[in-house]
Amino acid sequence: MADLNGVRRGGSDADRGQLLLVGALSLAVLFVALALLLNTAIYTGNLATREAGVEGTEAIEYTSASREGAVAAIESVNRRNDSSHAMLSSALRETMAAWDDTAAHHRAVNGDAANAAVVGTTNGTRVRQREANRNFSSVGGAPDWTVVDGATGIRSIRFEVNATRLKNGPTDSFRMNVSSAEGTRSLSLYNNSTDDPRALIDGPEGTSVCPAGSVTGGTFAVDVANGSIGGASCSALTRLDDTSGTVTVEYDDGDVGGGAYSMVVNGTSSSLSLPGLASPGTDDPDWTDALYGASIRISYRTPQLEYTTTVAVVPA
Amino acid sequence: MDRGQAHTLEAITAAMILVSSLVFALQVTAVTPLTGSTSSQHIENQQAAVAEGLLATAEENGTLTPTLLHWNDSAGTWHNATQDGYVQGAPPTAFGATLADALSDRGVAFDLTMHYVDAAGNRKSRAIVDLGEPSDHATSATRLVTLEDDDRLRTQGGSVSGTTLENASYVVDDTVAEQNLYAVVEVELVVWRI
Repeated sequence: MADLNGVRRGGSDADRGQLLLVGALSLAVLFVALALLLNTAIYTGNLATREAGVEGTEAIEYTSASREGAVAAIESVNRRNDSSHAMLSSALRETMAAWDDTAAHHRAVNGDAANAAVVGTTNGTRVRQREANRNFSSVGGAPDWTVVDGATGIRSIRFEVNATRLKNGPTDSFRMNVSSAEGTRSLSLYNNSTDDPRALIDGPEGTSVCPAGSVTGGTFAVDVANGSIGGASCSALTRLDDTSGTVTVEYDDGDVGGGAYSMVVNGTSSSLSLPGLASPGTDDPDWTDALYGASIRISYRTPQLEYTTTVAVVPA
Repeated sequence: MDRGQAHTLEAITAAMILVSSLVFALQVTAVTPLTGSTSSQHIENQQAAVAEGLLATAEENGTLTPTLLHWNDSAGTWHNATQDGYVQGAPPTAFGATLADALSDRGVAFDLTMHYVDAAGNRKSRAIVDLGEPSDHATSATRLVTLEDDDRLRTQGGSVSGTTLENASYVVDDTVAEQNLYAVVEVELVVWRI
């Protein structure tokens, strides 16, 4: 700093040099400040794109996972247990409690409190024929008979059909009629001229014919809920269990069709009319107690969200 | 008088430059390609959505569970994988192919982990795909999967084998012996840019 304190040389020239330096430095600061400002603008832009709302996805996912868990649990208790409705209901509650224990443990790791519990069950009745070599007649041998009357819903209609027993052509072939306030829909099973099984679905929507995908060992499966016949897709089949009000199921010409089948209807054996069926386990075809559906209460809590819902679960 | 003012101005400017350069230097050193920064927030949002979508799709079209069942019962690992899972890429399953298409082929790394609760009630993890340690800006998505007793393990080729989970020595044990419920596991997909 000796020069600055020394004798003025050239007077104002030295001052100008110093001001020039200060000016340059000020400009440098200004540029840095501008850069910071720009960065702030970018950061603000980023903040604006972040989600400000409450994240509800996890609660919805938990609900959907619980529903799937409950569907599997209902199917499991129906399959493993055909005693009283009370036993089925308690087995379902235990299974769902076990499901919820583990699932809630997983969610707790994320800091979310989740709970799913069975709050109610809908009693149903399963109608089935286990003997695959028997025809589709009633327990007394009648070919035209009422399988079930007075039900308020039907689900899980599945056939394991013996293809060799089927009649050729749709006329007077085995037919299942499902009648409700929606109208009467029917499913006819027959072989065509080259002995390939066909399903004919008739109803208020019109008539559809579906060929069976594959016949293995002389049998093929008809799954109404999945809309499949012998593994091939047949969407018209799913109309059959689309019912409202009181449901009646009848078989016509059960002597020209055979195999195993099962379906679950909404209603207990005391409220239903099951004239052509044997008591549980005594003969084929028979009925057993089953769960038709259940209501599950789901609650999900995160620091931002509290979600509670009750869902009705009915397997397909 | 003039000179004193200039000195003061100079000193303040110098101090500001010093502080600004310190701040700037600190910011600069923190930014590396693998550092989480505000500028990668958009991409993080995108990748979180992609991960969530991948798991949702896989669950919906039924390819998620077969990947969990792609288990070599005798070796005690996933088919053709190490004890740490698949360390070189996606598993050879339908879901694995989707992961490869959507992530690895686009330069995005991922880890796929199955979390389960063991008999003692502790939450444990088993890696299905382990492509390394996620970086600071990794995002994750999870999904609950219910496994059932009669779910069948898949063969090396991906077809359904005769071994049910009930009779297999799987990662996790049967939760409810008397019912068909086998276990509830959580699948976690962590994705990050390489």
